[in-house]
Amino acid sequence: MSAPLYPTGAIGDEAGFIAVFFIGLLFGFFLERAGFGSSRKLTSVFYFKDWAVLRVMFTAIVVAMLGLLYFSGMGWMDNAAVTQKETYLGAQIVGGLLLGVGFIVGGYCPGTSAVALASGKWDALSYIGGLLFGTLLFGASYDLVQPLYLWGAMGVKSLPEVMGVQAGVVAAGVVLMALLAFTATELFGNRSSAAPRVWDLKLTYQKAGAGALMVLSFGLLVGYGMAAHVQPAQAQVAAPAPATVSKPAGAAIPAGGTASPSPLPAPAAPGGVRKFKKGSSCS
Amino acid sequence: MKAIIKDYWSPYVAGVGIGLTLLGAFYVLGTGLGASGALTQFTAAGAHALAPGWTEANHYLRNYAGGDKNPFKDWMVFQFAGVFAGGMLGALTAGRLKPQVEKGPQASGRTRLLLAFAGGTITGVAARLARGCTSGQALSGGAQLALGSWAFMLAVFAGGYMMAYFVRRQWQ
Repeated sequence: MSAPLYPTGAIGDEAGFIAVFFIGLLFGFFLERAGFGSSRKLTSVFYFKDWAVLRVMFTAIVVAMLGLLYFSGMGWMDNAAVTQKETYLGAQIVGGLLLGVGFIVGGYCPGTSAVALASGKWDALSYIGGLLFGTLLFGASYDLVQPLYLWGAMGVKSLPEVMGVQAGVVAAGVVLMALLAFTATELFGNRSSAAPRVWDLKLTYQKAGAGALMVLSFGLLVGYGMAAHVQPAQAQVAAPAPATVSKPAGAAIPAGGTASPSPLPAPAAPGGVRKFKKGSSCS
Repeated sequence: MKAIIKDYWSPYVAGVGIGLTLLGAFYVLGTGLGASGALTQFTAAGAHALAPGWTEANHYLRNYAGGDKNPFKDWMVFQFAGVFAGGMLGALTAGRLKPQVEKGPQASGRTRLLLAFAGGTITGVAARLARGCTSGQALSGGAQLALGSWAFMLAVFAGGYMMAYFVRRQWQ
């Protein structure tokens, strides 16, 4: 198995830099098409007027989550070579609260501010100036804020691990939550806002998409359930053996998680795997 | 000639696009998307240009600049450039590229620019503290079912809703 392509050496440094630019290009284009180059559109989610932020975010998370679980479950991608996020629970809750405040005061988040600047928004330039200044402030006061920065360090921790259930179960729960949120905002959301027009997806297609998501998460439940049955409580074995390529759905993953079962942060990759430099700084 | 402004896409369609892009990032790069990381690189580069000694002594910024490190030869910077280019491509092809200060009709342009800077500053600190922003933590870590990323995401919405009332005039 040679995916993920860069960490396993299937593509080189130059190709990596080109790929990362085009991935950014697609990200920026879709953000613009979603309307996220507009601070008024973005912030109206916080005034219960326009649910695009919630819908786009949860759709994207659900699609990528299902993709990751299927790819690693089918053995198309070695999840142990994918950079996993470390949890610093306290720092991330405080950081999240602050970022939410910064979002509604400033009108953007970092990624969307780049799209807004590209759409000609001068307020986005001012916001980006603030981002640079804020980053400098953080750096300058790092010695002071370090205890907060390290508050709640838990290493790599995934929801399935913490909840003690299989990844398929958590994924199905996330899909269900997202579908409930979509339905609730479609039924009760305020649709009379004067925001620019949105090309709406036909209800038939919305229902078809929701059905497809349910079928896919059911597949995960079955796949991961069978894998757990085949390999009961083998979760202590670090990093899946290389021979997992040809196993059926889910078998490549130890029961209970997308993350490496090792409590140590990150280095679970088998020999010869390159990691993205400064793994934890990826943000 | 009157420019035709295209409609925004359905949020579900745009969401599927972003989700597949994110999946592509995991498949090709072995890591998710990110935006604020590039700004850390820019900050470190700027600080190093102005005060190299101070930057190299700083316990946080010295990880990003100084020595043989080139802050611009970094994945996050290339991705940020891509996001900017993709945003411009989208705005151009939709007829939405228009220089302006975006604000509510009641708010003054100066207030909006000042609040944008203040919000940016708060976000800059917050993204470093949380080790990522909406892209790196909420989207990427969210899709990986990381505990800290989900806590972060809920906290972002909580923070936004708590503060929304106090800055409502900016958008009205």
